Amino acid sequence: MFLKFRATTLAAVLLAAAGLSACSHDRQAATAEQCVSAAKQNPPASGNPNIPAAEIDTSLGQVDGTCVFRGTGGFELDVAKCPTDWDINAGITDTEIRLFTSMPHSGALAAYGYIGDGLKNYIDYVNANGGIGGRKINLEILDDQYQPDLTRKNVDKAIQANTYAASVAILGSSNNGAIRDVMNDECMPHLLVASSEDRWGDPKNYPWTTGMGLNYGNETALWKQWLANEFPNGTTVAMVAMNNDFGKAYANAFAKAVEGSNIKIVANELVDPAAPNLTDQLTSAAASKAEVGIFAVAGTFCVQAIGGVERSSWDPVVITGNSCAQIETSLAPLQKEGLTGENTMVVQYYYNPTDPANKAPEFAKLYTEQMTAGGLDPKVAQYSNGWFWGWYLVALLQNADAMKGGLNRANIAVAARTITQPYPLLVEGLTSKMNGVEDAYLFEGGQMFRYEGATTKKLGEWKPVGDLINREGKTGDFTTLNLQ
Amino acid sequence: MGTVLSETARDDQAGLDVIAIRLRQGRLRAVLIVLALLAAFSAWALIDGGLQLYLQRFFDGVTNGLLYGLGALSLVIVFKATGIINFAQGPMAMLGCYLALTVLDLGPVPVVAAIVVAMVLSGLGGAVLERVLIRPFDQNNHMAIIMVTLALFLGFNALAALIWGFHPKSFPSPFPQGAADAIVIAGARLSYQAIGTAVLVVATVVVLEAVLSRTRLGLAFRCVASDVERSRLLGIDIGRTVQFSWALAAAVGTLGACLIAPSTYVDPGFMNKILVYAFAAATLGGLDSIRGALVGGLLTGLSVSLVTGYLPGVGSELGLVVGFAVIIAVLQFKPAGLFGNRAMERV
Amino acid sequence: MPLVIERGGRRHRMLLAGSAAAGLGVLLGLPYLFYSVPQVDMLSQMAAYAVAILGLSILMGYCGQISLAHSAFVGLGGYTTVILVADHDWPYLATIPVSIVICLAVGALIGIPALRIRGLYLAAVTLAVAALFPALVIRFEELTGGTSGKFAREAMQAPEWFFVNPYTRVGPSIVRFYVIAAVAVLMFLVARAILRSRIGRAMVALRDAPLSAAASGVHVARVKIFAFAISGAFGGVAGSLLAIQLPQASDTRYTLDLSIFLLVALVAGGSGTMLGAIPGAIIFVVLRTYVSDWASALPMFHGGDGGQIVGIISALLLLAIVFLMPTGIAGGLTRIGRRLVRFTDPVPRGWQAYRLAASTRLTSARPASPDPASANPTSSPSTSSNPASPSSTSSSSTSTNPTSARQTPSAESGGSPTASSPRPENSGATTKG
Repeated sequence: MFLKFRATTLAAVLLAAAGLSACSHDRQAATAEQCVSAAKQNPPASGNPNIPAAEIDTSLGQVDGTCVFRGTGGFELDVAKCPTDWDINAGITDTEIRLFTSMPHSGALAAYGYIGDGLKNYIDYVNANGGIGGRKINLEILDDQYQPDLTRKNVDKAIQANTYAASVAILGSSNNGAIRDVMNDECMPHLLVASSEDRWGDPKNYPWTTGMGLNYGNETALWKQWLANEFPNGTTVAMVAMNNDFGKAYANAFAKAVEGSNIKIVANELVDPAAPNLTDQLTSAAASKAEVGIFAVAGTFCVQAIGGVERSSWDPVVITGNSCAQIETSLAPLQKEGLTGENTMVVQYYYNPTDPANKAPEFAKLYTEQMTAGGLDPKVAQYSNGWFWGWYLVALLQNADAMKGGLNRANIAVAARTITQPYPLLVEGLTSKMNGVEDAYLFEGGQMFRYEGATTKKLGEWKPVGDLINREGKTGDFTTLNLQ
Repeated sequence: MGTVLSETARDDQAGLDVIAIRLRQGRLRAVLIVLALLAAFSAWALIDGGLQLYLQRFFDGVTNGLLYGLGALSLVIVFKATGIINFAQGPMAMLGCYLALTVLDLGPVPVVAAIVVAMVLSGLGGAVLERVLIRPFDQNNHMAIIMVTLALFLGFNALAALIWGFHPKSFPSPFPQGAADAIVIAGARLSYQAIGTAVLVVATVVVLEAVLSRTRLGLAFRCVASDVERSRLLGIDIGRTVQFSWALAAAVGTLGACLIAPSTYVDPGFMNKILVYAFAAATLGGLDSIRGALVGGLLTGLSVSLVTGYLPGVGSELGLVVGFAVIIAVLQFKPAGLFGNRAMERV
Repeated sequence: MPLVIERGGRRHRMLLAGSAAAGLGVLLGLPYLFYSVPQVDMLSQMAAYAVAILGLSILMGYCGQISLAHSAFVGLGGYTTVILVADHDWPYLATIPVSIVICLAVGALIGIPALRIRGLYLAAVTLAVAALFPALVIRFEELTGGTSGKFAREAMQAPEWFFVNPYTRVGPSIVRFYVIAAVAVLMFLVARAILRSRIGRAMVALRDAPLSAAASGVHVARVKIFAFAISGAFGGVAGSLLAIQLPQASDTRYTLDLSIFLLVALVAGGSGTMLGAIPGAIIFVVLRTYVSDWASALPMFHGGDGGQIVGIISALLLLAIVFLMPTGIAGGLTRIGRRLVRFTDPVPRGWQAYRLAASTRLTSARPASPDPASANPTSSPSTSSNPASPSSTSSSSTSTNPTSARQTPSAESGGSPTASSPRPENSGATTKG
């Protein structure tokens, strides 16, 4: 026992001596080779309407002879600040672009992991039809079980391997929050994050990170605007949200949006994501006798909420979050119970390919064909979300390819802030634009739809109600965040 | 063997009467206290929110409570026979429900038939499981058997996700589920589905108790449940009896899952959500009491629904926490649950 | 051919010094073997989880109380560290004592309902605590960041004067590993001290025969509360260490699933011994990370189903361990180790003085020569009649080894009652002092 103590103190002393006598370490200086792009600028190709062509000012990109890359809207990237072993051409060759993503494939939110499969399906189509300037996109999907520390581990591995150009569509608010700092410090493009929080639109502080979907701030602003139009004398709202990052973001954003207006939130019910159903919450919301019920839920809770309200004697205007917009998963199951889900409302900014009211039937047909060819069920909402992400990924890659300096990681990050190509299935009249520091949010508008014409034997359709609300360019970026 | 058993039972009955009466009195007292507390709370709630809201919350609580009670039943059956908690109960029931769905996909089969087929098949599955994975262990080696159930928990969840994916599926109900299929009492809605489920659950409990008290297998079960060593001395086949309990628990679990599925929709994790509440319910009622499982489930559902509805600081997201708070409170006074028996301790 | 080593003798001291040096060498060299950031981070996680599993082992393996609440303590420690570092600029290491204090208090609080409740009912109470923790985190979102989680901008920084270069990519991770490993080793030493003390033995007594322990003067309530408190403190330290490795805390990280996995890791590693925490932690981290990645990379799954493979592999692994190595990996290793090395207690000097002159029973049982090998229980009536057979020597070394691997009673059929009964040799050994 005593000897053991002596041995450990001896070891400790030795170690301390070694440590203290050690050298001092120097930070290595940045080298100029970091800014040399191996790729050539490619002129924008046109052709296939199902694949976005580059739409960008070809004078943008690398400023000659410097390490500065310029985009639109005042956005500039100086890669001299990147780590010394940063490789501007990592993951990019003449034949291939390597990307990675990290998603939950097990655990409570595993259903969202399917977006990766949809993304891969679209990428396969693009690869078979020319790719990005002849390069094939190679996407590696990693599982993180929705645990942020595992997301971080996946990211660390990818960064260490130095064989990936960028990440795309990493899922989860706390997951992305855990990696955003390291992604930006290591100059790894953090593209099209699969989380709708407002904070991803922050080019001044986190230039390498971009968001994608309609952010909660904008979606709830659209709700508020629609409600203000419908109920000019004010109304009461019961909010039912899931008690996780997703639902609470909606609840908080909506509360902020209606602050000071005549729309009053009279009930705020939270649903435990691990609970079997939400009948208690529905009863409490119904007890508030609110005129409007807003349901920021997902998965089976969508069906339970819509069906539960329909069964009860409470008769509010039912608004659901965009996550419940899929007819197949949120409304069709009601038929078996003798319900219809009629008059459910949702803000949509793009059509689901299987929605018969969509305005791009050719594209939708292509989607169904590709899905079936790939052995996937086209009716699953997350697969079509994968195509949605895929379109914008290809759009920004094409833009980067057409910029000065060609396809390299810095141009990819700049191009991610300079997107203008509209998705074929976007709601008509809506634009999707990302414009550097001035407009950090890709989507800032939407259309309110109502589910109509449903019977227990026949599915209904989403019919637009009211005007398209387009706040394009008004939001700014996260530091200014104008949601009025 | 049968005659010796029944003789002993008869003799014991005369001698144990006093103890049995005391036990019954104690339980009655506990239930009355809980009911009194519930009544007091309800009175306050009625004054606070009105009759319709109270009744609706009451019905919600009872409906959910029935589901928890069903889950608790299977847990209790296994606990009675073996003394362990079967962590794999949720996934086993979930697989049974998927089995019923597969049967329904085969053709235009009535829902009830599909459920019965699934129950029989999962009963067989439970029997096989016991024979292969549980029998090799010493029955007193609780830790090892619990580990096996945990392994099955992980494995079955993964298997279901692998085969059927995470897309939620709807399950048809044997009862009508439409908006009009309910009775309305003072504005509060009680669906036919809830009434039907209640009737089925009570029937299950009655049938279970009948099986346990009138059949030979049930007698052996009760013997093993009270003392394994003595049963072995009496010549009871422990393995066969435990196998019977696992088969029964699997079948009851599948029935429970099929009754729960119409309202919660089927995906690989849907029974796991129920199971935590079911565990709470079983603990509240007493892990070795079948009636206790039902009563515990009802009480859990009611307390969650009423407390989260009426107490302002406690939101509905804290439902599970409330359920457990009630149980901790009850366990302080009755350490083995409302209807449970305190284990005898050997010095 | 087992090597016989006498306790306290020269060989024993050399063995201990040698193994301490070897352990130190392994810890120092390991990160250089896996010279990459994610792998060194995984090593750090293994060290941190080893501390957590050690705490669970104290409560469940040594004191016999079932607890599913461990994830709440790990979470408490994690959030304490991240909140203090992110919001109040504390240095990372200084937050560890705060975690310890908070978790001691909360652990003692949880011990109180545990006093009257036993067995699986206790499991229900601890399950409630584990379920309560994420709900509380979400509830107090101003403090904890709610569902978005909380993280500190900078992980623990590596100092310049250390021999590890902090400007390489791997450098800071390696330094963090050393810090975490150092704290982990310290916690193991603390655990050893506790388990060897009076209260440690009281805990074991409480597990095996609670009524007899109470009758012998063990203050049951105090010991139980102490066990919960200490186990909670270990969990809190583990949480703080995890936050040092990655300063991120969120409600999805510390759920009931974590408790269940820790329990699985404990049993797989071996719940009867302290060192079982190490293989347990290795299994835990490997299953969670490497196996998942390996499974995702398999060509037959689109990458999506990799997570399910982890579940199936974990299930099979667990079944294999339960069937083949019920005492866990540490138990299996101990059994192998016993074939190589056998520890014996030295015969007390001047033992002849304690012989009673008239007692022929004792003298006939004891051989004349003070040979350590034969001081072993040929006199033990309940072991097999052949003293050279492996089973009797293994059970004898169990008895003469009061603090060695304590097998879970049911795993060794029939072995346990004899192993704990007091024997003449034992009393001789203790009087040697």
